Amino acid sequence: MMSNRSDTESIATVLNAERKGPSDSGGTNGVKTLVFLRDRGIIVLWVVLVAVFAFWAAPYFFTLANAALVANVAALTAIFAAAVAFGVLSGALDLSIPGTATLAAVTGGTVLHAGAPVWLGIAVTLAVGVGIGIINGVLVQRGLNPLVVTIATLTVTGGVAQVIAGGVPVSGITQLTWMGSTDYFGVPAPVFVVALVFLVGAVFLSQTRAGVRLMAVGGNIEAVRRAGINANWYRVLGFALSGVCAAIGGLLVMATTTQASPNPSVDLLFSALTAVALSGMPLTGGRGSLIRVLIGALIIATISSALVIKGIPPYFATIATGVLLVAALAFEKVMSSEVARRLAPPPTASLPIDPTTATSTPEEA
Amino acid sequence: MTLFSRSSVRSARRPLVVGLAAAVAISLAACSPTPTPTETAASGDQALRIGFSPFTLQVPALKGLADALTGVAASQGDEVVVADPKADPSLQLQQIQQWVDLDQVDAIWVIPVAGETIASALIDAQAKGIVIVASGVPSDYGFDGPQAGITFTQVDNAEYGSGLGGLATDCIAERLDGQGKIIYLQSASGQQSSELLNTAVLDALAADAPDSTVVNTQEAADRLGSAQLVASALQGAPDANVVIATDDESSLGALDAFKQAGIDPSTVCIVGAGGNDEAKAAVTAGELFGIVAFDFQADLGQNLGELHKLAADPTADGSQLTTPILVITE
Amino acid sequence: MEPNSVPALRLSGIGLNYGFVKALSGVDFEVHHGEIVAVLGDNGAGKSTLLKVLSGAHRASEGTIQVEGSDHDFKSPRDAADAGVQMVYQDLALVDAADIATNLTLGREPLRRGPLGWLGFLDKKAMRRESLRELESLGVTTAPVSRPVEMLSGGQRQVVALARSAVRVTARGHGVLLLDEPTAALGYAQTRQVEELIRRMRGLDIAVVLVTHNLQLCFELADRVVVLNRGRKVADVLTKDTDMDSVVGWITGARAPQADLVA
Repeated sequence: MMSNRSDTESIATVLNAERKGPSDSGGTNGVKTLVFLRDRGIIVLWVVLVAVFAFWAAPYFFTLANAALVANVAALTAIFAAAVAFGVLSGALDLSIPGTATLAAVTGGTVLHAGAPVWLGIAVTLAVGVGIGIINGVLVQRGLNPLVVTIATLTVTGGVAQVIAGGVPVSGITQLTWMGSTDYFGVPAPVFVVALVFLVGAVFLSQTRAGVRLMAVGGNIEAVRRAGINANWYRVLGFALSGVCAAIGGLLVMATTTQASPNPSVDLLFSALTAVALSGMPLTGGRGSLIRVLIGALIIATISSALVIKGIPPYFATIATGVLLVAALAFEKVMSSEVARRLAPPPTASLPIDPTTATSTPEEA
Repeated sequence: MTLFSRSSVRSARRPLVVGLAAAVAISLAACSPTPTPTETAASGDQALRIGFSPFTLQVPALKGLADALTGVAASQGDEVVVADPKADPSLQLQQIQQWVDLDQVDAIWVIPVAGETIASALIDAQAKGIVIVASGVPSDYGFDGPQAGITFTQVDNAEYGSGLGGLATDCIAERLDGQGKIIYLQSASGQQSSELLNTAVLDALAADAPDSTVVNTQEAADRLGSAQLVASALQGAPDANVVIATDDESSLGALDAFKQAGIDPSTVCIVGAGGNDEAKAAVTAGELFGIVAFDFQADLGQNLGELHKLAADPTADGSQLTTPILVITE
Repeated sequence: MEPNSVPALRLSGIGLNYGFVKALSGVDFEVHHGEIVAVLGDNGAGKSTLLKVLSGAHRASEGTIQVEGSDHDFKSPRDAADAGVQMVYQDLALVDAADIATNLTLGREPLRRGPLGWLGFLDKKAMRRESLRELESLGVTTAPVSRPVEMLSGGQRQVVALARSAVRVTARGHGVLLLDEPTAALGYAQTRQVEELIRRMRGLDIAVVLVTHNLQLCFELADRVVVLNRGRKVADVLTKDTDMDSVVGWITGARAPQADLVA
């Protein structure tokens, strides 16, 4: 609108159409509500669940002690969900996470068992996670299918962990209890670790150049390449971050149980995937929010806590989670397409009207 | 993601469990090779060349079993050759067939990958008077009854369950005046063996601790998962004072949860099954009331003795053995 | 347009073989600042091959490329972009989930000053401010630049994609913009918007190469028309000196090549 030329005006108008259009005055509020529901709906869902369970499983569910337990369970699910999320955001579903966590923990545990200082044990654990992530990333970047590569890594790391551990858990790792079964101010230690990871992760993804590029690679790798960026580097970065989160998860499990089991827990991957899916993060990559993933993990932990407290057989917990998952996906889909429909007409919409007047009414398409 | 459902992962390991609870055999590897054959070879018995064909040698537990067998057998003059079928049924068939065709062994101990696949080699062995101890029951191999020169050996899950239930009722009587409030971490269902075990536990409770109630039933999970389950269960039933866990990981996880909740484990009853070193140590420390375990050391001696017994008369029908069960308490 | 000025981009004697197939042979091509040249031709005539040579996706087997009068060898799209030749692809190559500002600044994001900048923190305010300024300098005032691209209509997306390339070109002074069927997926009204933007780019002294099937668009916009047939240039003529029938004749081969272009 800096120019007085009429063509400038009309382009400005078309781009501003959804703000100025006559049918928009009521629509904007509607869209705002929809966007709120789409982005914050999962929080609403969680609050509703907590409220319902507070009555249904009274008086045991809605207590501080149980809140700490739920937070602890959610923290461990969430850290693996973060591992899944970093992979998905950068455009690849990383299935090797349980294997990475297992191998990292078994290696770190073996080092600690041999009497190494705590910092070295942690460093080794994290380094193994990064290393496996980089291997995954480089293989995928060479054009191999991510699913196949990470399944292969899952089996290989599981096997290597068995060999290192000699088939039995590396036990007696008591050096890490300060970040495992301890609590501070009534809050379990793993919750602090996971909160820190999510805080750093969320800031990284939204505020830093590398984070924004990572998401862009997941969304449209060609666009990033054509912008002259080394897109492959960011794919590897995604896998490396996934590996680090998996290793932190392995570390927390080891700290909590004082042992490193060489059996990858596929159940944990399953919960993590569920948390990611509940958060509405599409597996096609490039979009989603880590904070919503955290809420997803809380929802899973909340449901399972309430059902166990009520003594409901475990099958119902899995059924409930599955139903919720499909419902959440359907909700997200409906909301997204509704928002898109209200904000912009289909891209191929044809308007056989004089352009100068047509520009302000694309919504009628 | 059904590809990774818990049941498929478990069932992948199932063939092993049919033969032996793998984790338990590790204790063997740890104790051996200090030969303590329960039945030494009868005097005048000839030394045997024994072929040992476990499911795979890639699993450390089975490697340990093979080493233990070699050690024990050598101490009584027998010789052991070990094959590694690498979990491949046709490879296992080839290896056994070769032993039989080339008369390389007098006796075979087989833990099959797939029973029916190797049945033909067993029949050939039978015809040559080579005696066999085979894991499972005759129908696993397509046989319809006892076989000359072949003894079958299996784990008895019902008896295992009764033993576990019995431990719980003993503890409930001893520490809780019969008033147990039980959190039951049952064996993952969907397998016949699990059903037998789970039912036997409940039967034992009904018979010997009628005043106790099961306040929460969940499935045994890994260490962390079990700890989380029991912690939640304790929220709903703070007065729960018994945990019956069907494997080591879940009993140790339950123990973690009780400690975390500030409950002294020696005032309640946590019983488990399996018998790895850590669980045994917890029993010794008075934290677990007791555990049941398949006694694979005794089983090894039993199988070795059985091979000698069969070799004395290869034409006589073999028997059906069960793996002895060990009850470990403080 | 000054015919005697140094061309923004000049190809001389370009030939390119795919195996034994001659995709291009002896093609001379030039575009000046402030000029829109349309490249026309039937499927397989060599249009997209020429575009790939221009954008650096393919290397010519023979011939030379000059940008602003100096020789260049485009080994990759990166080389072309570095020399000031920007391609707008048909698929737009936008990151849907990211906002307009992120898409416009991708690859040259402003960082914060100080320690946060060393850690790679973005200066989001500067991103939005610069995006807005660049769009305004093109005469495009967008909806909020913080709006995700996926929430824009097809025409708006095309405008953003064009603007992004134009910004990159103008940011370095003069440059060359390559457009591949810029209006293929658009309706009538939206096509008009994009046409206006392309004209405005010409007004900003950008050299525009327009590859299209759409003769209507070509005659609306282009100053000059280049027609390819079987890998050879058969016509290179000012739009005002020709008509649609002649161009169709050249495209189909029904009309003989221009006299000075007969090999």
